[in-house]
Amino acid sequence: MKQGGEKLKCATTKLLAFIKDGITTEEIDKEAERLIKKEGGESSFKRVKGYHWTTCITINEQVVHTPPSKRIVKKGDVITIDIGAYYQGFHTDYATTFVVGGKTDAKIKKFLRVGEDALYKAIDKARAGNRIGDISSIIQNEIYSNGYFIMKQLTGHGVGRDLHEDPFIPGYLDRPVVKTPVLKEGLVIAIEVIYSMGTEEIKAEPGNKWSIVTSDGSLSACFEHTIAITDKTTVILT
Amino acid sequence: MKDNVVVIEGEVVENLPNTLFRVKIMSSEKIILCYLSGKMRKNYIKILPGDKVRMEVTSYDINRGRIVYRM
Repeated sequence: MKQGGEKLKCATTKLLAFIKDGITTEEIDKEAERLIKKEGGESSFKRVKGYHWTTCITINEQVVHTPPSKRIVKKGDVITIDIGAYYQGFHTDYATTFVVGGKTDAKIKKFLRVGEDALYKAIDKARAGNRIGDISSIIQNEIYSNGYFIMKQLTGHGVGRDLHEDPFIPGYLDRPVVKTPVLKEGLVIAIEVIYSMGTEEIKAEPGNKWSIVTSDGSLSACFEHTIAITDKTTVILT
Repeated sequence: MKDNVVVIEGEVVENLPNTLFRVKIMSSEKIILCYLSGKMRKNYIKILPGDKVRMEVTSYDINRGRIVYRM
């Protein structure tokens, strides 16, 4: 999985450099597939039943699971690339959000920074012996205390021979920390911080089987890493 | 403190009847409706607009909070 993660990382780094003003999300997807194949891996998302693309590319108000389309990426768009590689029988999953062209106002910059910080703080808490609730509570604290909203219906997940496995890693606490499962060594999970600026409600995008958007059209972002919990430390695989 | 609450700091912007307050969250522009915790009410702690306070918010409704401390 470590090798798979490294390959995905290489492909993603190249892919991010490829994204620019004026191309369609379909073109990004094709490039993503080419890069992953070049690294010797396979697209992970294509193994999900009914999904035929390598990436999920969500722009602005789109939250997750948006298939690539003819939509053109514009300068200043907040774009999330969610990508997964399948290598030697194991999946890895990664997502990041950034602004196309790099220039934006302070409000959006802060919005993205909070999410990224939350993810790294959560990864810090993911150690053998801690509980899933510890991860959830830190994400919840970071997002809520900055006045943003967590998408409660979308969670992180275990990763392995399947792309989505148990346990679920919610971004908020629905029960006391002591009642959540303990993290054991050898566990591989994908922590996802999915949040928005104005609402926690989501709805399906009209005319699209997969895509999910925020109910009020406010900006949303997603940061994700696949991590492995070992006896001493936690390794970020992607 | 319950463990599924988030502690946030803010600044009171408006006093409302029935010991309700509108509080602006420190690190954002968002304003939420807060009530005064029973302990603070029992000890007659006065809160005025402009005061910095600490409040607790749960994930059930993050547009409401409970003021637990005046700084």
